Amino acid sequence: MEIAGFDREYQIEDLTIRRAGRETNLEWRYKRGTHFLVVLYDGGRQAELTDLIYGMEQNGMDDAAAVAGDGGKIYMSADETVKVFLLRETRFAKSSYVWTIPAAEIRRGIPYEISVFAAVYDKLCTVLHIYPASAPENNTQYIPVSVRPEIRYKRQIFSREKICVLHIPYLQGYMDGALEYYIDTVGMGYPLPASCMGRYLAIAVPKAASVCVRAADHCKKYYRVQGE
Amino acid sequence: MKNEKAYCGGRELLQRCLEQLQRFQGGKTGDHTALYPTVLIVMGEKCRPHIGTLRDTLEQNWRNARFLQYVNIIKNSAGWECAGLTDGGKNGAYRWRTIQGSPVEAVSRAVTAMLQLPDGIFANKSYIKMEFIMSATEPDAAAYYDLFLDLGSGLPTVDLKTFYLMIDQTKQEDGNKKSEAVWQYIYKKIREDKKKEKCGTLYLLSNFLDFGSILGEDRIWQNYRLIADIVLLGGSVEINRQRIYGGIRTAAYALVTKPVEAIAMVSLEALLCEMRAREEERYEGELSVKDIRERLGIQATNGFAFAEEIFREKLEKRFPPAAALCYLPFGSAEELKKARRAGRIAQEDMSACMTDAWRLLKRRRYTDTVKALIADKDEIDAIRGNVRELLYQTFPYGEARKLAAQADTIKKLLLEELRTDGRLEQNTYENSLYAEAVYAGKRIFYEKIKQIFTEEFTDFLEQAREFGNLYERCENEVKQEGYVTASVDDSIARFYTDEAKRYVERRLSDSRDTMLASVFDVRHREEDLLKAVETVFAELIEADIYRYDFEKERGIRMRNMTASQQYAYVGAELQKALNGSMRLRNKFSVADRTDCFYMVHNTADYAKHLEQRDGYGQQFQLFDLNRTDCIEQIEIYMVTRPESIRLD
Repeated sequence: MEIAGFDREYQIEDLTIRRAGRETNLEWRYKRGTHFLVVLYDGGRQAELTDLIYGMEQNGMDDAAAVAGDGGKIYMSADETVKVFLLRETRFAKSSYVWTIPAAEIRRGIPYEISVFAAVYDKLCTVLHIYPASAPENNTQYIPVSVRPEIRYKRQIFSREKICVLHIPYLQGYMDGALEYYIDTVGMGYPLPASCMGRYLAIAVPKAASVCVRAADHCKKYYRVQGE
Repeated sequence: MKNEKAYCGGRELLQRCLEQLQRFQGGKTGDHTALYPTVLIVMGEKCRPHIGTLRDTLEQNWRNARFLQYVNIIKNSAGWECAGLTDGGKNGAYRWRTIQGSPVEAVSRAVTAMLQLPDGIFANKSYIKMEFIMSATEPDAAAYYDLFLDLGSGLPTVDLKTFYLMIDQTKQEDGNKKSEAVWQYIYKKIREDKKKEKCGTLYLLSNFLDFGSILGEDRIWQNYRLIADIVLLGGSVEINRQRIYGGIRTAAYALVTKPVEAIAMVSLEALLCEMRAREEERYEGELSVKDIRERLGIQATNGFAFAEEIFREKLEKRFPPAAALCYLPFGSAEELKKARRAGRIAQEDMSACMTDAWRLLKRRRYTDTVKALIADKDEIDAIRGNVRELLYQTFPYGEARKLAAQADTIKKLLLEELRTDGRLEQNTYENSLYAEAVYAGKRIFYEKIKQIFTEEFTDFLEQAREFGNLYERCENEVKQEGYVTASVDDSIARFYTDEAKRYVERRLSDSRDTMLASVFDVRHREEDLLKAVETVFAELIEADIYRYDFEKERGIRMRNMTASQQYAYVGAELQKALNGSMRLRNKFSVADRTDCFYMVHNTADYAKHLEQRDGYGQQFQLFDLNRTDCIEQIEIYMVTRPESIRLD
């Protein structure tokens, strides 16, 4: 597998994710390409294309065998956080330009990042040339995890404070600091570690304050807090 | 080539200082005037570069010299090209401006311009003085001489038409052979000029002196000064023209000057040496560790005062305050209440989630903030600049040189681990956590700061060492150049060395004086050092002694001698310079001495002494030279056996 130089003819545009029940459908537009490389990352664990290809080759990836497959998974990292699929353009076109991620590959509670690359298979050299995107926003989309925090308050007599009880359901694969709680009167966010997930936390807050939970700026693509 | 580059610094410094000193040696324009309208005609290109020496000498001594005319005639493939001399731009350099017309027209126009001047500018307009100068190695020299023979005919020049042939008797580019060929041609023409109407006076001035010395590029100006002196002698009222003009002549020339070069060299050398000695003796002994800590602002915690300020301004202000840490999450309400009641919370009492939350907050809001700053190249460059400036301000050069011996000790000192300031134990848990976070951030910060400081300190010591080498090299180059260019007698060496030492002493008696600091700055590159020393030198030569004229300076320097001893000294110097300095080297003697002139300022005691001597008026004459920095002696020779002259 090789990374080709940038070529306007081999760009992915308007990548869209539609969820219908348990199905996750991907649609995109393109001009040219014989194959498409679809990479599924667990949220926040994206790797560079070069590292990915290196990993696949280390794993004994054979381009000819990969292209002979039929839209199936051609690679999965050891920790299962990165999965790579290869599908033929003809098949994509036949399926009305929609490709469905196999349900088993998407687990609840884990945010995903999906990138699609156009590729061309050179039969003579048996090499798959992958074309990098001009900008990530064109060929990358996210499947965020919906988070529903539970926030209650306990008043304290003769106190200028009240206790906020915060509960966030356990999230598999949660990264430290992806979510934070924000106290409006303090004006600061407090990042939440993984060990706080599924726990009922007690936080002393000023009496007039209100607490909300939000995704950290760099994780907004991965977590969607309900009510945010 | 490498040697020439390495020689540049001290040599250039000496040259600049010499130029400064020479500016004080000039005088106002003299009281003489040119008797006749005079046109100086430079034939060819080789003599052009030296016209400045000639013109300057005439203008210093003749009040009306600016009305003289200068013409340059060059032969080219198309014929003749003429130019007139003009004053040049800011530095006063002379320039040649093309004149239209033939040489005859150009010369005629020049003569006409002078004749049209108001009467009184030239006392006698009956005659035109024409001075021709040509190098014997000029291509087409014969053609130039033929032109000379025609120019001026019809004009009343008589014995005021003079041709100065600048002879090259060296073998360089066959100068001697070319000179011989031209001489033979000219001599033939002179023999043909039976009526002696066209040839005028011929002066043979060689670069090869009678006793064997050759005037190189650095001394050939003396021959042009000699020409100017002859023009002065022949064109002023007092001198009998017969003593200067007629036939084929040559001259011997001696110049005794105020030893400006030697004075500059000795003064500069002594200044450099004395300044260095005084700078070194200012910083004797080692600096104690305590002193170093104090100077560098190293605190008890092993932090630096300047770094603490940066940390406070750029980091601590961005940290969440301690009060915000009381809103960390507890594992339960009971845990929270317990912590609040106790006012403090021990690490072991913190639940896992609180510990993790605190760890995460500490990283994101404290240590990552510090890391972002130390990853910012602009911030780090600014910090480096601060450190460098601190070192420059803290350690003058003399001290910096000595610090090299303590370099390892100082580096160890700089790298000592940051200690806490004892604030980790606090009365509330939020204050404790805050102090812990600040300390963690500071450790990361100081790791970088200390690395930077050590690097900059090492560079600083190296810079100091290199500066020392630069200074030493400069000093040596001045010394070397002095050996080559200036002959220094003991009286000059003693007198001006003492003068320089006294000057430095006087300056340093004022503790606020910044002379040494301005010179000994480790940041100085070569040009900066030269400029700094040149500035100090300029201040040194403000003293009166450096502005005295030739006699006064000699009188003060040689105050141990009586007046007659001093006159004898000057006379001996002149004679020494005059012996064998006839501007014509020949296997056989071909010329007889006819006259002697002393060019000396009439206010000089030496002039009065000469007037009292036997032979004044007969054997020698005086000319009032408008310079107070020298005495010149010229002997005129008549060539009596021209047929025996061989220049090759």
